[in-house]
Amino acid sequence: MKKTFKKQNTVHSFMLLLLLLCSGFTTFNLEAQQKITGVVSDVDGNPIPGVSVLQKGTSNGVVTDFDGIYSLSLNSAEKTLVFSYLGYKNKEVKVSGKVKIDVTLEEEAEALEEIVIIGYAAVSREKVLGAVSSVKAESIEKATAVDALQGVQGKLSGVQILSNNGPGAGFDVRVRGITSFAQGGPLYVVDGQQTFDIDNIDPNDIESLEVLKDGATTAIYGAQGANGVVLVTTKSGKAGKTRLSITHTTGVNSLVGQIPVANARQRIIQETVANPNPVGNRSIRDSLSLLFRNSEDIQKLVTRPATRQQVSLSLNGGSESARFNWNSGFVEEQGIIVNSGYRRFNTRVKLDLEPSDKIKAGTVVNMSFEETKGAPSFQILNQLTRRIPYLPIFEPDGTFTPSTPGLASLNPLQQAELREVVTRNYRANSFTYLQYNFTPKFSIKSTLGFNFRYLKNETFTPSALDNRNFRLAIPVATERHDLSYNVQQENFFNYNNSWGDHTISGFAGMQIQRNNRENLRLRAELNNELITTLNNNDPENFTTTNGTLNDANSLFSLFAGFSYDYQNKYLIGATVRRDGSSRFGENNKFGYFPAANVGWRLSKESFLEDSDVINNLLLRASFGVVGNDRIGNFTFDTPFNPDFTYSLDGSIQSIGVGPGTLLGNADIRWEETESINLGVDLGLFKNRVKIAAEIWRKTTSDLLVRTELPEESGFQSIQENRGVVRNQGIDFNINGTIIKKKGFKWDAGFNISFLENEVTELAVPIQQGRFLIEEGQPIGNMIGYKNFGVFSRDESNAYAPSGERLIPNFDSNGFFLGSYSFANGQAYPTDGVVRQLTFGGDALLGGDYIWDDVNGDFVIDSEDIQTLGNGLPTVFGGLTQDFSYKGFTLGLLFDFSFGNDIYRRYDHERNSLRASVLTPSPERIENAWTNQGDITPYPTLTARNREVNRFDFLGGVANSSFVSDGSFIIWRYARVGYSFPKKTLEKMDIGLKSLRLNLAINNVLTWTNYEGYSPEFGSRGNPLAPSEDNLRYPNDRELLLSLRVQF
Amino acid sequence: MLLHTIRKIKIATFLSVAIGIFYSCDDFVDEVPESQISGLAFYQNNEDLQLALVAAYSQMSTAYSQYHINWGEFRSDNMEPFGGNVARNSMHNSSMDVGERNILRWFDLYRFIDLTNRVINEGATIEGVDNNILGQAYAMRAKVYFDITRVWGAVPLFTESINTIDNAFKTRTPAAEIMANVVIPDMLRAEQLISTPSSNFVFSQSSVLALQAEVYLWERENQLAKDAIEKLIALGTHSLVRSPEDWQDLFINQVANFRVPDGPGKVQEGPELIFSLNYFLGQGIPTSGLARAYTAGAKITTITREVEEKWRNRFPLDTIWDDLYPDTAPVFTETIIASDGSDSIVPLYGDWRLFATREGGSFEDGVGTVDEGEARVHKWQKNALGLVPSNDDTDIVIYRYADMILMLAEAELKLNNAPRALELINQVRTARQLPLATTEQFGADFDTQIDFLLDERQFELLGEGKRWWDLVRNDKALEVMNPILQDRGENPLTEQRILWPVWDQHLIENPNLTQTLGW
Repeated sequence: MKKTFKKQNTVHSFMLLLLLLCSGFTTFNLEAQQKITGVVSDVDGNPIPGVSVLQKGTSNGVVTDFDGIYSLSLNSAEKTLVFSYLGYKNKEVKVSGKVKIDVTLEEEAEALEEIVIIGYAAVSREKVLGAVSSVKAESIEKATAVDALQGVQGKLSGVQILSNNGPGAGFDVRVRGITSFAQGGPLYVVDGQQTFDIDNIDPNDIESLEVLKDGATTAIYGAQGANGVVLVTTKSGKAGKTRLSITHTTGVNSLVGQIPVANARQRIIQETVANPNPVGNRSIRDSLSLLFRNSEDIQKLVTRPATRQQVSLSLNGGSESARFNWNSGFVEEQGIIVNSGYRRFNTRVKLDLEPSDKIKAGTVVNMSFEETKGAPSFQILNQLTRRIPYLPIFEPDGTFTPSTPGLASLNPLQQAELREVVTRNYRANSFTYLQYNFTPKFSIKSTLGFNFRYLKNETFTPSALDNRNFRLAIPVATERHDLSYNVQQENFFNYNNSWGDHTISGFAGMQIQRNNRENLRLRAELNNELITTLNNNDPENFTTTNGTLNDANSLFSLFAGFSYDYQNKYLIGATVRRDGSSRFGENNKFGYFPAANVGWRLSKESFLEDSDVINNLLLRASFGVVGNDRIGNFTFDTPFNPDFTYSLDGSIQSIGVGPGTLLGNADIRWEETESINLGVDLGLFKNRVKIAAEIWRKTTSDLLVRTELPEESGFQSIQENRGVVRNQGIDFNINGTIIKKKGFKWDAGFNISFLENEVTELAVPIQQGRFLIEEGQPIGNMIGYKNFGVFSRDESNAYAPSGERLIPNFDSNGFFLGSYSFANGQAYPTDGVVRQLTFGGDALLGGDYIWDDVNGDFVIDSEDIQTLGNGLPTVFGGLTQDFSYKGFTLGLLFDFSFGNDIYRRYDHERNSLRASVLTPSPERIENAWTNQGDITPYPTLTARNREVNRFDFLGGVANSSFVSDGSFIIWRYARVGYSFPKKTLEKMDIGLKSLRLNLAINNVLTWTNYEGYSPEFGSRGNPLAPSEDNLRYPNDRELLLSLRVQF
Repeated sequence: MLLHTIRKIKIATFLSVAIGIFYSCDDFVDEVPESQISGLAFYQNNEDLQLALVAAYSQMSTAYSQYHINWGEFRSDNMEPFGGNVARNSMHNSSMDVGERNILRWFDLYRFIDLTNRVINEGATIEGVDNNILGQAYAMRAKVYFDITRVWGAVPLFTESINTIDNAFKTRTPAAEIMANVVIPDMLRAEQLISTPSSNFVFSQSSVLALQAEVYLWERENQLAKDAIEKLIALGTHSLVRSPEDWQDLFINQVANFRVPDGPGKVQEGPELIFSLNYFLGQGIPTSGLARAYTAGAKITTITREVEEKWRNRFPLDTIWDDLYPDTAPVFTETIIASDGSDSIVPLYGDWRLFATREGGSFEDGVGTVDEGEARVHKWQKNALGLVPSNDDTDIVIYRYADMILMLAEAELKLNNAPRALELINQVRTARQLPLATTEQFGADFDTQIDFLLDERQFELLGEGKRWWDLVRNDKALEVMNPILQDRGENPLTEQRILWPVWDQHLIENPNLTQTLGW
């Protein structure tokens, strides 16, 4: 490991050096003609960095440095300078012989001419009437992220982004709650191309990221946008001299927090209690026995401080008629679990061409390679938290002690080190457009997008890990090949016009999409371990495991829309889309999805027009319907599979054909989400403070649900439309500049969202593992048995027939007197009936859980299952603080989530005593009931014959002891940066235009009551089972140093 | 102005043509499965029907891999608990938990039923349908409905595939109704349709007759049972094996490994095998449940003390044998080396079938060293080492000729023909080279005789999934099991609990179902 690390470092440094040299040469080519310098500042006299200074009519331009200073050598052409900066009015200044031109820019309080492309039309941001949250490149950069979603965590109101933890594992994105039972996150639209994840995009590539939250805005994306839409705009080329920038990040990650794991002494206590008379080879151990000391800190052995290297290099430039941006990046991230990691190479070229006034064309080509390595972390972590601690890890000679299948106790370190699991993703996508302008107002645009992804997963399990049978251990290799590709093609017309006080725009067009999947899964037992790939066996011995499957689905849509405004005061718009999906049967293929919105800009009314405080006040309302077709292909049919094998004559195997376990439903149709959004945008003090607040409600009906069928029908389930789920909430967002003095600036942002979810209609409840979805309840309810502690004595299990608990009376010697009292001390009549809780026909005894007998029949059975908590947070948001002084910046982000519970499944599992090889948590062992009279939170460790203690209802349901509060506040990052002053850079004389150094800590601190590694984890795609902790890759704290240079 | 209008017309035409083209793309969303067959395109001809039949057999092998032994053995006096496997012990003690999915779940069985229904119903629509295919489907459906009504009594009855959710919810149809309307007509239909006299791994004339015998004997139609077996004998397709080695070869599937270097691999052949479910190794295909039931992994089920004692009493392991059977010496001998170094060859007393059936036993060393009550069933595999349940390809024998001969004896006995019954018992004993039973040993009254016969069946067929049905068929389950359960400190078996409980999840999923009485 060390070796490769060093080598890579050398490569990076070498590349850097080479680049420095190359760019050095380019600076020599600069023509020095007429040189103009000056300072650009705002009306308060504060210098404005980053202002674009362009010689009018040419591509010759520069950007001001941190002190607002620019220096430009003019070409011989027209001598006018154009100063432009986002949020400020453009200014043109004639040079007329001057060599120093200082400029003051005025803030453009009203019309931020920022454009966002929603669906098929470009909209000025201030005219957006839906609910849109957005994050800009500078903000993403602050998170020093490996992937784009990490960069926007906590910054988008109404959007929850939860890490799935682990290198390359991605994120779970929930836009305004859970509206559908179908799996899947939002739709991502990268520069117009639709895709379902953006893991392969370098965060440095992103110019801005917006999330469309309301139905009216997402409706135009049709079926794919039901779970929200994330628009990603990557950096485009800017006319001017070619600019090169390089960012390099180095970091170290380490494990935060440990899960308590029992040591050998505790394990022996457990064994002694469970079985007081040792039989066979279990000898009595004295306290000096080596066994007592033989417990390693496996969490320490399995984890490591891990490094991260990230380089990104981009070239940007072009002329007015041909602009380009080319970014290439490389990330190498070690996992903090040994033998795991993530690598990514990516390169992206974006070209925008305008061969004539009539024609615009462009293309984006993105290629990436991702490699994720490492055995499934939950396996290793579960093993280490529940294994028998006195089993050794290493043999005296330093090799791994083999796993002992008889004891079902695997050696987690051996697993982590020896199991090879590699997933490689080869992805390429291109997106091309051609636009023809019939007139300046009327145009047609065609796009063609192609997405290709080849995923190859290879595993190798050496014979040492063959836990089926260690005596006849066989090395096994598997391969999985998933090829998916899709085509997207669109043709649409755009019309834009404005006259007088009227502005109107409209569009109409069509879109087709086809997604193809092809996969193959192979497994082979290898001849030996010298070669770990499948060729180490005869292809005849390959077996397909999950078989191979090729299938495709397609969508065909027609759409149209318009928007109109009068004086930018009264705004109105509407869209309609007709979607057809191959996933529905003959009669239900097509669905119509309309949307409309209105807005009223009060700030344009006479009574506010002259306000000094309020410069923008927009009330807006939107309504829209979106369809969802995210179900399997052909659920409307009952397709037959060749999944059956039998030998009719005992020698030749025949493959039979029969239906799968899903019964086809010819009536399956679109799921529809109706959403209403009421919002207000408020800009104060020339937009120095901006507030956006939304109140919204989404109602999804005809939910696509897999209904369980009675199994005697020969089928297990059927896809149906049933049920209604309602989400409603409030999103609030405020951003502002608190202090803006000469050289010093303090910006702050805060967002908070409140969320409520309820299944308003569902005839038959749906159970998903330990989660129950039922009418009148929110999604995410964890169900199980609740306990009130442990019976301290056998006699404590006593109840009056009313269900009231009775307290047994004892004499001073601890002998039971045969009488009971009520909790208030009043004596229970001696002839009164005393009832006892029973399970499986036996009365519960001292040391058993006091289960909550919900139905009051004194029998603990499935009728006593109740809701123990809910896995969905109800309040979440984030707080950002950004300070800058001269060249220094400091950025902080806190984000929070409240109101959810977490089911500690790993803890329940190990504490269940389900099998004697499971070692409970130290707390469980130390706080177990042992003698009559003990008052403890945990029941006895004795197995006895009492299933309720041994199994603890494990499996289908939870136990309230293992449900915890999952609220948290995370200090996500702290980042200090320094930009070197231009003078220093000039002195260095190597052509550097800017040099910036950042030191950051990610995951600084977490405030939570949660016992596990981290209270933050995504549900890995299944929206119905949130917050179930079966041990994920632990959260890591990262220390990062990054350097950004521009030439 | 005109120019402007023309331009407008041009644009309008262009637009409508464009939209017209777009609209015609509606066919674009008609996808057909690539790696599957659409349900509508299947069952067109005999070739399709054959594929559907293979699927049914495959599903039968999935379902029966576990249930055949669970149902026929574990609740009987053949097996007892050894160790702490809760689910297995609950079967041994007839105290199954209604939540025990792995031993009560219907899915594999009803999926099998659905596949047979499809062959039967779709086959009827195919012109020139292959009657052999159709007949086999009838036989399979008769077999599975017969078995599940024996296990649960009343069960939901499906004779057609469902096509909507509404017809998935059925109540439990009484066993007698299923027997009269499905099982018996189906097995008679199968006999008419199938022309193949014998085939080991699919239903043939001989196995359909074996099924009929089993059903009729259960239904106390002793004459019809007798007729069926006699028809089977008349076919001449099967016979008893004549040597211990051949008998062992009916079962043995011992993979060679370092512990058993001369393991013969999978043999499982002989003229006694009428119908077996065939298993073979491979990923994702059904595996046999025999290793899982008896041999693989930790020891959880052993042969009961009671049956071993009975067996040893009937065929003593010492010279008492000579007193009981003065005319017939044991087949095997062993060499005894005396302390002075001289060796002598002496008879190896005892029933060699016991040696072949129990753990540690062999034709060389007799019963071996494993204690009574601690020996596993080692009829198929001799050595647990190297056995992986998921790598078990041992065929499960459903019908065997010796089973039929002894069933015929039972029918004859019940038809008041005891001498013929004894003759048939001795036909088996002769083939096993064991001493013949005398009229005296057989007993004078029906009760003694039936017990004697059932014991003979128990020794011959131990582990093959027959004993529990022998007990229930002859109303002996309570009589035999209750003393044993009492010894184990378990609750006694009740008349109602002879039937199995329904898995609670099935009751939740289908509110029209009710739990078996007594559970």
